Amino acid sequence: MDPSSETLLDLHRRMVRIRHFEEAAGRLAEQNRLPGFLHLYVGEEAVAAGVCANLDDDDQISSTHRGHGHLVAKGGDYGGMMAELMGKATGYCGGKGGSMHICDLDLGMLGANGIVGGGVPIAVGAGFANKYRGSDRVSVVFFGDGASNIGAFHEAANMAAALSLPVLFVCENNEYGEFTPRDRTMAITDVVDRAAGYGMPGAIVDGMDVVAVWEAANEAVSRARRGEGPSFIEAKTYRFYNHHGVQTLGMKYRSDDELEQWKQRDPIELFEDRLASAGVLDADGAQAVHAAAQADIEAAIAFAEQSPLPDPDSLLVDVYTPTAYSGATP
Amino acid sequence: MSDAADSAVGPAVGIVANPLAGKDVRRLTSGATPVSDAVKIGAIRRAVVGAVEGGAERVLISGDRARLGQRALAGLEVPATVEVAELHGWHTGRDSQLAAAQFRDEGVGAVIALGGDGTQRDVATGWRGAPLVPLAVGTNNVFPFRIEATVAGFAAGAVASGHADAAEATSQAKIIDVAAEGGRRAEVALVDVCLVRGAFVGARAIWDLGSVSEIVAAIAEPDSVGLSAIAAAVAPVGRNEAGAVHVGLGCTARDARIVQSDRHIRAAVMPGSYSNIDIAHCEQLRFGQPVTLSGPGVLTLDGEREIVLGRGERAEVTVNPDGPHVIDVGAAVAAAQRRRYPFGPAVSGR
Repeated sequence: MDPSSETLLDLHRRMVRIRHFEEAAGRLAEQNRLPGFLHLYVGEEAVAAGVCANLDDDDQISSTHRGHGHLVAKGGDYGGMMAELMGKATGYCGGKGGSMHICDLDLGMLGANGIVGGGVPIAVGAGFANKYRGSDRVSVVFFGDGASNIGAFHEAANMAAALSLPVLFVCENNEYGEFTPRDRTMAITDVVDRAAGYGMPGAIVDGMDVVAVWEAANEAVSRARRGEGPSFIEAKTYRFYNHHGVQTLGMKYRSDDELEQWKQRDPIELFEDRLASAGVLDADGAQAVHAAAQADIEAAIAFAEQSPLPDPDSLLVDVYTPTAYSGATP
Repeated sequence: MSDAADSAVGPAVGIVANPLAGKDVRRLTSGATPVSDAVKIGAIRRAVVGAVEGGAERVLISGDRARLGQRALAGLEVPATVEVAELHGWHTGRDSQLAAAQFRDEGVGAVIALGGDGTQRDVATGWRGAPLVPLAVGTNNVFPFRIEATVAGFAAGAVASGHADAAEATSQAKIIDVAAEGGRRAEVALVDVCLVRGAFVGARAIWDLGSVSEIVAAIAEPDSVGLSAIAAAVAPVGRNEAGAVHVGLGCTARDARIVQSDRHIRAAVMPGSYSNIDIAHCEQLRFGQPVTLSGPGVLTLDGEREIVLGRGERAEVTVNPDGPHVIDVGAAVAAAQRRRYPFGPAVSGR
């Protein structure tokens, strides 16, 4: 049942690369070197890494306003991401999308999404296309506990199950919708309870244990590829920073004790302890992975800062498609 | 809670409900039934009614993050004191362990545990000899009973209050003690302890049978589902029989192509899934007879990966007769009825 050593090291590398990107982005935001809102994924790395390590470049994901981690885990390029966050022409979306609309279609990353729950029908649509074309691609939607209260989630979940689409629903339940605790907005504790209502199997996993997430996602992705339809995974997780940015804005909506309790289960530290015990990666080896990620992020920041802003002449580029509709089916 | 302890005068029943029972990865790997909060809340509510009907004057419910207890009690009026214990805040099986220990310290006369084998183990970890009505609300349910919560509650209330004689209605379960080397971790199990390949607990449940190498089963009954079903197919041992069984596995396969042989058996190792298993060796165990399981590998307790053993690390496993005092629901109800409870002459409570 254990992943191979190669997979274990891959999981570790993906998590570390997410952490270094997010920590760097947080520092830049605090220094006012990044425009716009910034929703950091620190603390939730095991979810994106554990799921995306089961996917190929052809498989698709759709993401959330907290989407950097998903793109990094899917193999996203630090330079293009950092330039996009800074609004530079060399960014993934030419600098016009920013943090909440970053995408990379070559990697199957269908986009972060500023609309809560907006990514769910997009992934289900991709799942419909995959089934219609007879491909074995799988689409994954990451969404939060709050998004599961949105109508789009319910319609898309129903459609995915009714049409038996190859879609994996991954709910990152971090217990808070922005600043509101889950129990103020839902009469259930476990979002997975909703899966049964749509007729799809669902399971809870420890979202701070990357091996647990990987194992569950491995099963769910295999089910989808075999044509057995959608699955639902609820990962119990927690964000270590604020809803957006790093500081708490002075709004006391989570207790220090609660935050500290979750930090005791830092997914990267937990995994590094286990990797060392298992003889897969020692402390020096782990440090080398961190150092490589840090060097990459510094290069990406330099690249982004030296990159030009979008040319004003490009204002309407990517707003309307230049291609006339031909009526042809793909 | 301390105030409540001071006022603990009448017969009391404790209820442990595991919010995570019936929700793990086995919903994806096999046809295991999802168990929603709504199912548990309903069962708690009915168990409370039954416990009070059976004679409990006080009912304590374990606290949990899902607030199952509070939600079960909403609008419920019963002629007894019903309280939800404080939330211990671990959000793991440790919550159930601490609740069981708290119930023991507060003089609870019977515990109702809602969950699968894992939840029952948590109760036994917190209170080894608990007077227990184990109620099946989980995935693998070898140890607990599939019985309606109303009468399960009644049985617990009747035993706690003395309206049913505990000696007539209870039998002491076996318990498996697991001591990992160096006293690093001491744990218990109620059904089986297995050694599986690997170095991670991961999603905890077991669905890759090829990774299982050894099984020590205290309960291995022909109608069991789970790893103990393998032992049951080789050398069954009932829950009320002395001793246990130790089985070593050879190769395994989920398909049916393995040739017929004395060494091969077929068993329901997960709900909704039969597997062929190649048996390497088998021995009967007496109470107290140790079995040593050696790493590298992971020890499963009642079907969940729990303890990682490094290369060369060992764990000693023994099956003992001093587990929870399991209350037979039918026997307890019958015992109370023989005394014409609630209409007969008053019976002195404990």
